[in-house]
Amino acid sequence: MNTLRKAAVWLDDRLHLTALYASTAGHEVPKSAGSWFYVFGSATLLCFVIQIITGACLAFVYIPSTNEAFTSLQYLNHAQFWGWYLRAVHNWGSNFMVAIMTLHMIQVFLFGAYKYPRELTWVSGIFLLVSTLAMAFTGQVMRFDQDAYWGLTIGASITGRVPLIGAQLVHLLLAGPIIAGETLSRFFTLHVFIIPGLIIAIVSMHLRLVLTKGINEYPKPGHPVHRGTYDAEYAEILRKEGVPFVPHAIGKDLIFAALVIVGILGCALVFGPKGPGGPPNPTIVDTNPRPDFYFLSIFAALALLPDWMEVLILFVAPALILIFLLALPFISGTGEKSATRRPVAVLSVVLIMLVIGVLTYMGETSPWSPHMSAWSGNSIPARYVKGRTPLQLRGALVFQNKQCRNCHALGGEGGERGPALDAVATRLTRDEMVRQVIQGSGNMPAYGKKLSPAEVEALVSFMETLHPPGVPGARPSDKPQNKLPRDIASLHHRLR
Amino acid sequence: MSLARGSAVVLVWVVLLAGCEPWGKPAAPQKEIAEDFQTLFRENCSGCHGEDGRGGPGRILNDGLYLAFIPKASLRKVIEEGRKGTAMPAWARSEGGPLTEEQISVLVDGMEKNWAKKVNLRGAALPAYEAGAVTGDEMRGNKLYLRDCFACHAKGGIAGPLTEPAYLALTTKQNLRTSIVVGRPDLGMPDYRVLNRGRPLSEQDIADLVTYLMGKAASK
Ligand code: HEC
Ligand code: HEC
Ligand code: HEC
Repeated sequence: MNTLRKAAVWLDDRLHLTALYASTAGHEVPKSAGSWFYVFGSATLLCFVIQIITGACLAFVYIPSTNEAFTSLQYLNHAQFWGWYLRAVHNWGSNFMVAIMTLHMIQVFLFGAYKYPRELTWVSGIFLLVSTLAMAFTGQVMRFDQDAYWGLTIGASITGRVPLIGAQLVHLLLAGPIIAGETLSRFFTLHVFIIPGLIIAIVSMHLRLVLTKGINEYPKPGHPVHRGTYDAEYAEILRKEGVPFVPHAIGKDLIFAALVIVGILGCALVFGPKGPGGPPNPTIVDTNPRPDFYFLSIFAALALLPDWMEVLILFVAPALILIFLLALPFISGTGEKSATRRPVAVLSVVLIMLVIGVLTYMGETSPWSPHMSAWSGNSIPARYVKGRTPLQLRGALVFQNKQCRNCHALGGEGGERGPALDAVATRLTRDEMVRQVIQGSGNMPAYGKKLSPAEVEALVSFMETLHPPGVPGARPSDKPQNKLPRDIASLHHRLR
Repeated sequence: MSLARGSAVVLVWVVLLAGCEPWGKPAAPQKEIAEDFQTLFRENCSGCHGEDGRGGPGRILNDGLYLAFIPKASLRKVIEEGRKGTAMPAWARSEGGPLTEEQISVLVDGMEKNWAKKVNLRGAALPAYEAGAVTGDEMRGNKLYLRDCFACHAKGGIAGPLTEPAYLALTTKQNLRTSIVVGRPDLGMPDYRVLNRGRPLSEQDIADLVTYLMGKAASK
């Protein structure tokens, strides 16, 4: 017994475990912080831990190569014992993490916890927000299926619009001018090494700041923060009603953690993993590609707002939002903390959440998915066949064969992922059609080398006949240059 | 007591997990089964060959003369293998297509059964589906084209030129031959029986025309 005790004391002397315990789990927090509102931070961390564990398990099987990624996920889904469940937990863990992190952020904002002296806790939190969204995006690419492909294509086409250095940025993102094997390797490295490493580092800092600057007391209306007096007030609160975090304040965190775990495991069990959809091939469209829900609202926003706002939404708005969030604790670092005395803050949160919610709903319900069998099953309306030249008819056949119809309706039949082309000749000139088909744009794949010059010629000859009788075709000056994802513009029309 | 209750709860979970297929488990990919002719044709062919096999941008298939012209084996072969270099894809699984052997049989038999008709050849011998040993004469083909086809197949004519290089790059000799013999009754092109100013085109005429047109493709 005595030797055991000696050993323990020796260990503690070398490792400072008691001190570590006292300064972490045992550190004093205001009694009022043991509230149900204060559980989201630890729950976000819990999600992250679950992601690391399940992610590491997945990495045993997953092969980050364009040929093997899809197969290895299929293997997990169908062959590996409960492999699908591992994928499902990882997927739902990420959904929960984004959701709970958002709740945490809202709580911190509404409780004024970002104010003096916790400015840097908030700033590090914003970096965690960005890193977590980056994990969500790179994780979506790991599936390397249709969704991933489209997500990347859109990401790249958005990046490509950055003035001056657009092409270089695309190269940086995709590890080349196009999506290829190197792209997947790059995203794999980001997803499993670089960003998680960053998150671990920032989380450490975040937690250290929480410990050193203390947990925000439950704000009382009419007790504004003053730089000169707050520290003394906080010390006073701790002296009067401070309790050690363990065991006094941790109870609710533990209960909520259990709920979160049950939620993740349950959702994974009931709803299962996501994808992988069809293997990525820009010209075979056999899934229902759309971004994961965290990004849906951005696409719907693009769809709803007029064209001239696109640059604003894509570049100016994110930059402004980021700058605003980072600057927030320095703009309003003092003053009232309680939400009951900050109507503007409460209203902004409600409004922002409402907008994001509605946009996500619209993105979710909009008819984005291509119609898989349109190319072989939807006939070309008779009025587009009669009186056409042999070349134009061949164009119609190429149109079907290359599955353009899966995304583009004619005569009300076909996919609605892209705009209906019944009157395309009134909108686009011949050259613009050629460019559209070769280079693609937005959600339309670039057909480039997948079409022979004769096929392009035939396609365009056919499309040139698509205009209502009596309405002339488009002339070169009719269209603004460099338009953004036009599918988004067309979504815009459908949503209205 | 509480230990017993705890293990009971765990046990229930284990039984639940082990006993039933969870909803979230992804279903194994399913295989399609053969269907009836109408559905198969509508879902796979009508996009190019028209509703009910006529009036599409691709060859009319719902036509007595055409089905008399093409032997069943050739019909099956072109459906199975498609036509390289054209928009006609291969349909057989063995060729990377989506349809099973049985489904293709349903299609071939269905076309024969539903659409084949007795045709009156009006004394004109029906040319073989595939071109024989006859060698075509390009010069003569040119003359025949101007005489028998140009009325419709000129720029601005009711059918438009056949000589555009891009068209010829996307067509095949067989398609030209089939079109000359069978015409496009759904779109207003008469067949070989009358194309020679009301009289039939001979085997030599057809060969000359095809040679002339394919020569146009090569010359570009
Ligand atoms: C995966 C779906 C998809 C496929 C397949 C597809 N497109 Fe598109 N297409 C779109 C989308 C989406 C747009 C809107 C453009 C954008 O987002 O910038 C579009 C736009 C167009 C436009 C411009 C329409 C306009 O009014 O501005 C043309 C023309 C076009 N596509 C032709 C084609 C042709 C020809 C093919 C086949 C070779 C094809 N598309 C295949 C999705 C698709
Ligand atoms: C994407 C368009 C497309 C689809 C779908 C399609 N075809 Fe075709 N088909 C073509 C084209 C183009 C040709 C002409 C090929 C040529 O130029 O030789 C053709 C030719 C044919 C021919 C031979 C015509 C001849 O020259 O004798 C047959 C028979 C045929 N198709 C049957 C079918 C059947 C049956 C299906 C459905 C299983 C089908 N096709 C689906 C485009 C299509
Ligand atoms: C009475 C008018 C008329 C005459 C005469 C005529 N055609 Fe046609 N032809 C058509 C029409 C209409 C079509 C279908 C529309 C189209 O392809 O432009 C057609 C289609 C074709 C096609 C099929 C194009 C394709 O691949 O889908 C070929 C080949 C063709 N004709 C060859 C000929 C040849 C060779 C001659 C002369 C021996 C000829 N035609 C005479 C009206 C005519």
